[in-house]
Amino acid sequence: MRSKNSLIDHLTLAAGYTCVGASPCSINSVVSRILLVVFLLFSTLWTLPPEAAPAISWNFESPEQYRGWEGEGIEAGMIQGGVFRILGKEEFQLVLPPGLNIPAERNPYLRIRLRFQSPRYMRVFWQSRGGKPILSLRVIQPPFDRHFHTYWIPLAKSPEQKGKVERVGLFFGGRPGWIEIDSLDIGPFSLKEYVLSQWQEFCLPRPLNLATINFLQSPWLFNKSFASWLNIIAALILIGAAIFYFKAGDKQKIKIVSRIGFTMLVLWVVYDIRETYSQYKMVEEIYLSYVEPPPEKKTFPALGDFYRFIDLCREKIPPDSQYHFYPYPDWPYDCRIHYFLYPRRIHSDTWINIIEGEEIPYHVVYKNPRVHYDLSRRRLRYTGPEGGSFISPPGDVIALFDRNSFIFLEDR
Amino acid sequence: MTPITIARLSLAYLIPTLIGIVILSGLERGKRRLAGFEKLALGFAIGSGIVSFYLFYLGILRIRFNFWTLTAIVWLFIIWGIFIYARIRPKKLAHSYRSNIFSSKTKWKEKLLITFLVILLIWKIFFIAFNVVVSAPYFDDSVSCWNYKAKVYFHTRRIIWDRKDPDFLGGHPGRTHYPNGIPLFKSWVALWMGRWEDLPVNVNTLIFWLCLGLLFYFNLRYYLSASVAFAFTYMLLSIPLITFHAGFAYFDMVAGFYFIGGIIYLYRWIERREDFYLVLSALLFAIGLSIKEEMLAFFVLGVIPVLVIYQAAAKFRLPSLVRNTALYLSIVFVPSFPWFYAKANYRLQLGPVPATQQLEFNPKALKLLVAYFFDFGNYNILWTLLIAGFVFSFHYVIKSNLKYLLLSLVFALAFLLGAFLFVRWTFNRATLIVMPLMIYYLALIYGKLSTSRCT
Repeated sequence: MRSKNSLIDHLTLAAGYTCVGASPCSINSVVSRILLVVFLLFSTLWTLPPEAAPAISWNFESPEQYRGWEGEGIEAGMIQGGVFRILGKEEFQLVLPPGLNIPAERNPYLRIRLRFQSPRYMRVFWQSRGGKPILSLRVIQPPFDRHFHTYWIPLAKSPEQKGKVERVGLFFGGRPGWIEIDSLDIGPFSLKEYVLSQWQEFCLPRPLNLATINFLQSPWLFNKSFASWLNIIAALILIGAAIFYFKAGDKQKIKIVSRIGFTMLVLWVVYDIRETYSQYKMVEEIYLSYVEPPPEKKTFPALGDFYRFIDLCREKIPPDSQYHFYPYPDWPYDCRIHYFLYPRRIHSDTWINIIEGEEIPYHVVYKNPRVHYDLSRRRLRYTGPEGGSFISPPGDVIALFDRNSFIFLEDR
Repeated sequence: MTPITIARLSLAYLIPTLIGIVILSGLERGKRRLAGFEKLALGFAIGSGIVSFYLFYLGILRIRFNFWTLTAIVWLFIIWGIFIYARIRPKKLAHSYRSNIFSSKTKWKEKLLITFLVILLIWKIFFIAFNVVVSAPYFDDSVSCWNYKAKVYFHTRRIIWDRKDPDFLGGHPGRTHYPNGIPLFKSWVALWMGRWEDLPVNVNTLIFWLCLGLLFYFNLRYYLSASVAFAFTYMLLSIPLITFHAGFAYFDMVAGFYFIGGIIYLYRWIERREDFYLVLSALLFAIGLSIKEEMLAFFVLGVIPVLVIYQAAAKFRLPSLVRNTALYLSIVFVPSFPWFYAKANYRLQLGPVPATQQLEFNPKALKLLVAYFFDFGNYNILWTLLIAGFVFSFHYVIKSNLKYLLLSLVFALAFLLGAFLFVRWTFNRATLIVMPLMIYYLALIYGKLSTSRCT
């Protein structure tokens, strides 16, 4: 039997790629470092000796790594900032460069770190020499957030798989949008690497976005949400306790209930500690983007520089005025400017709050590349897919926020 | 913030609290039925509701909100307060418990655990306060419904009843039908501040969150030891979605306050049959109806049947049954009657928006529901505990008064699930209205099964 190192050497040579180790843990808070140390100490008790780094890998640091990839249904692809970015149709597939030659009997794993910019799912398929393509049962559906997520997918795990895996591909479905692959590698399973990657997943901060008010995503651990792990543990304990409880005498029942109560409280606190960490990261995110920076650099999660634009509007538009609003897209800016600028009255595609008969001299454009100021005519021009037209009488831009955001005032 | 701003802000919140305390003291009639902090929490909740109703009635009468009309209600309650204070001694204002969570009777292990939970709760207070202080209203409804309507009432200094006016009933075209309790209270705060600012009007969710904890703890203390009551209070306040909502000016948690408050005192009335609790329960539901539209359904389905079933099961004589029910329903509905009349008069929508009014079973929702219950991080492990709680305690509950609490919970959950499965209603947020009742029920059955008694 060949040693692990020789297998890796073989695979590396076969694929013509260099080995890349796991990315360093990016957790930066003191709390998470302490927890990481504790967790790693614990994990060393049951992990195998460190195994070699993955065998075939792409970290997309150089444009040459784009070479050899094939696909169907892909509309655009590029390597940018150490990330392989692909834009595809509703369903498309991406096939790894040929010549993999991975021995199936070594139970290789594909490890991929990626993020989706739209709600999508992914499945992996592979093919050995002369065999039919096999589609993995597991459907990868990362939480739709701003983070990269790491997945481990076993290749050629079934006993009938022998020989060499020659072709590996990724199948994507769901709503079209960019997919970003940070790294991809194929190699033997490493418990230590796996635990580390899961720990990184577990420590990912929860992003604050405009849907967070409806549900708070639980952190993930070993391909399940942490909340569901704790629910499973709680359910198992409760089922076990129920068996004893219904057989026990009255005095014992009291003891059992007290112990269950304490255990459930502990589980609750465990989740709450993790939730506290999420809350801390959220406070940190708001602090770093909105509190600490100077006024001209303040941004707010998911709204960007919108609040600064509001300040500009408050400064330039008198409170008793009416304004047209042209954002792109309408949501989430329309309902917000409606509130923040009141008693100034809005007229837009989605919100109308004007006093009929009174003039609407101000035109507020925010992040809208379709509306621009025509210098020669001194009017606002809308350019859409159906053509262009003037949408205002003559006037001037009285405040410029950025190229696509400004305030225009009609001549009086 | 200048000292004057702080003083104005304090007045804006203290005046309703004192109004509420005066009402509660008046209802107690010299008997100490409520604990001090319980009265404080209820005082704020009731007082803020009373001033909202007051502004609404001013609005109906086409009276503008100004210094004189705003302070008229204050004088009334000052006089009543002095009258009550003269009649009863200050010692009788509230009752207290013999032991607290850090008393000498508490074991050191319990003290350690409680200290840890207190630290976690202190962090949550900081988290909520940080978001209230730093963030402008962020999520859709807090911006475009609660705060927008309040800002309109503040700027117009009245309620506009002219349909053609862009500020008609708060000016939000999609939310004119929505109850005005919260917007009017926010405008009350802004009127006391003298200008519209986000921080003063948004701090009420933090106050309600604290009040929820106080109400919960001091009510559980009737049945449980201090440390167990505290542990369950911690569980309630640390439900992830509740903590999150408290920091971002959303009001499902506040509706949950009025719902649990109403249920708690209805249950207390069932146990003690003192009219004070019946009136208090009704008062809380009356204000609850002015908070969120769905409170009406929760009240009609989750409370009225229980009230009637209990009296029938307890073999109340018909005149008593009619009297209690009429008293209860009149206190709940009379304050909101002008609002319901206005809704009918202006043909404002009642219930879900027309797009979701069609009843249609959504089988996919079942799978989603399971994910909401057990996979998302909104509720920690609460749903598992609730299911286990049903199994462990059912044999006991059906023999005790707890069955009425269970009935309320089951009816409320049935409405919630039905609305989600058939009308595709937002589930996660609406659950916060029932969450406090779920934990309250769990706490009481835990107390019964573990015989963790009040000391």
